[in-house]
Amino acid sequence: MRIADTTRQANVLRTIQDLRTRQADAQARALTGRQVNKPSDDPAAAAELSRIRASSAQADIHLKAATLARGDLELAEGVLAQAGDLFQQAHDIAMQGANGSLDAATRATLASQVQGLKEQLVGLANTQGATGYLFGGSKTATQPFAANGAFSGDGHDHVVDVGGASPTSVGVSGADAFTAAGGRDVFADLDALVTALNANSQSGVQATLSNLETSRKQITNVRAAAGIKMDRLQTTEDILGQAKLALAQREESTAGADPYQAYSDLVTLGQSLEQAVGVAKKVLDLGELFRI
Amino acid sequence: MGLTQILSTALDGLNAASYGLSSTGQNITNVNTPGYARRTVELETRGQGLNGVNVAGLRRVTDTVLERRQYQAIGLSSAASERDSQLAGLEAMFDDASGSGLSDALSAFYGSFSALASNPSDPTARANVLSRADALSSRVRDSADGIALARAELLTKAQQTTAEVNRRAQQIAELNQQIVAARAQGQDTSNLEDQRAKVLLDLAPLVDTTVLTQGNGAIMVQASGATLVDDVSARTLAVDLSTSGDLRFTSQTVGGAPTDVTRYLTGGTLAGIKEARDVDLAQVATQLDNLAYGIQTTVNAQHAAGFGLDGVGGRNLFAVTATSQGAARAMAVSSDVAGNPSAIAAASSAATTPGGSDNAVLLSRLALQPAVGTRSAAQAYGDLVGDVGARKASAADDVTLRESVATQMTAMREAASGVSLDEEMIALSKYQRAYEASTKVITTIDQLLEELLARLGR
Repeated sequence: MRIADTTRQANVLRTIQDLRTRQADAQARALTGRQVNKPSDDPAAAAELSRIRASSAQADIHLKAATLARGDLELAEGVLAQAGDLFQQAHDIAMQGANGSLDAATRATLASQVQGLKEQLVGLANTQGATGYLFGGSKTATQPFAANGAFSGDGHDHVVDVGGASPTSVGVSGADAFTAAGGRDVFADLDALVTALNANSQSGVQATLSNLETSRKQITNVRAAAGIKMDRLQTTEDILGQAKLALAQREESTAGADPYQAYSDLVTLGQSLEQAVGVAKKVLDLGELFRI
Repeated sequence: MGLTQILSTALDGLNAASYGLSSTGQNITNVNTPGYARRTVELETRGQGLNGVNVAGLRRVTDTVLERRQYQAIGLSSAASERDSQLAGLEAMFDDASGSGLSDALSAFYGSFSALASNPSDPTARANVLSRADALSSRVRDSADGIALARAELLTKAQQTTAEVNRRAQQIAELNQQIVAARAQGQDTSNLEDQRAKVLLDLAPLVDTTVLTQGNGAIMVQASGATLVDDVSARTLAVDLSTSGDLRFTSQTVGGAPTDVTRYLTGGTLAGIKEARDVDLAQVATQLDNLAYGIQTTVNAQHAAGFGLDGVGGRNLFAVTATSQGAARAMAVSSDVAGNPSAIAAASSAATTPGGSDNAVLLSRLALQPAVGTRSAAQAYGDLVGDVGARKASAADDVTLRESVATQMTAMREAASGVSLDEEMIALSKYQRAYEASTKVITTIDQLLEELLARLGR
């Protein structure tokens, strides 16, 4: 076949352009460490990557929600632990007050201690976390417990989305911990102790012991429930962390380029290009013929 | 044969060699001229006996079958390149790897409900929902506007290309006229044919071009199934929009009725424009509309079921269109909630505000629930990205294949008609030697004559 000069030039140009295109692709692979740098590189992988990215972003969001919720749960659990301690102290005071040898003045002093404990308890029950008042149910913006222990919150459970099959409960019910909704109105039990102590009634003080213990258990039960929720969230965080790792591995296996292969391709293509340019010079050089 | 007759024969040789040298020079000069077909000198022996050589003429070496195939291959290659180039622009709009896609905006939008569920009374979390909804709407609108703009630009490009086709058709008709006239006068029309071939090479990438040779030296050119040039007259190709908004191509003679030739368009930039505009871009725009509509309707339904901090429910988050058509370009935050973060419905009842998060959780969980058919928004978007990638990849494959065919066809045509400098150098040497040999004959005859005259003079 006759080879026209325009064909010879076009062939040289096409070869070099082809090598340049492949070199640019290899450069992109080597620079980004990815095999898929645009959707057309591998459409199925690009679609998969888009979904992996969405899942990964979702996992991040859930992880953030779980961490935030766990922070408030830890705070609530700590507060309930302190509330339980207060009731232990109140119980101890009641035991002391139930002693027949105590006089009225001593019982009055004990009553004032219990009053102090109640004030502390109101303070604890009005603790605020990152999401507002911890024990007010849905009334997170207003103080749920008045100074006398009157409750203005509700029993609404706070739920968040941490990616489980259903919404995850992360609320700690102030109603269950401190009000009659949970069995005992804990503030009323402290009030009863204060009243009995101030009345210098040994039997009255003795009668409060059982209720105080029930109140302490009530708070402890809610604390235990908070602990279970914390553990659950911790497990969720672990699972989400593993899921993120798995997604990162999936992303790598879907789109990742072997760095050594990418570098090797780049070097090989660079050499090919040099050779092609050398060949092009020779192909286009008609000097020999002109010298005939 | 007398010596003077030999001189005459040698003169023929000189003339033939000169002609050959001229033709070689012409070939070398036009080695890079588009449309130029190499010339060969047609030599024949003169008369009977030893009467020298006659230059019968110059032959313009062409192969009409190869030319026809080349025009067709160039048209198909050009159509693929145009589509590929338009799809590259489309692909860039959905390239999440470079941050230009919707993936991040989608995740951030649904994620904002999760953050809201974590802290429903937080004004920042509420404002964040509005800002993410606005960012997603803006991103979707930008993509849809980008597609609409590309379609509008392609209409303009189709109009410009059509005008260019008509200009080329007019040139061919004029060249036909000159060739027919020159032939009638017995003149060589090679240069005019070169010019016409050059115009055909310019026309072939614009529209599918079929060339038929007519007896008088003119050619008939058919484009998009209709006659574009017939003898010395050209018809007009026009483009406008059909009732469905797609490109419509019509062919028209002066004063005649336009004929719709859209369905016959198979090659050239115009075919690439049509395919990219009315198939690829239109279908991706529909997918984007469906995605936007799916997100808006599912989110609105759930949002309307909840209550804002003011205890009011039934509000839409997005200003949704009546149908999916145009939903992407119209996507925006609803005036029910725009600028009012308190109106974001995180609680499932008015009684559980401000800390109720049930509805925010349900909104957050929409990320995994069907939004477009049975697919979630992220899945549907992934499908869209895959579809765009597949279209671009297939277009790139088409380009490779069709360019290769066009290159091969061009090489085959050039093999017949193109200039080879190797060959011309040999021809140059051949004619130079022939010229020298003829000169030698003249010198020899001259010496003989001189000797003869000298002897006669003694």
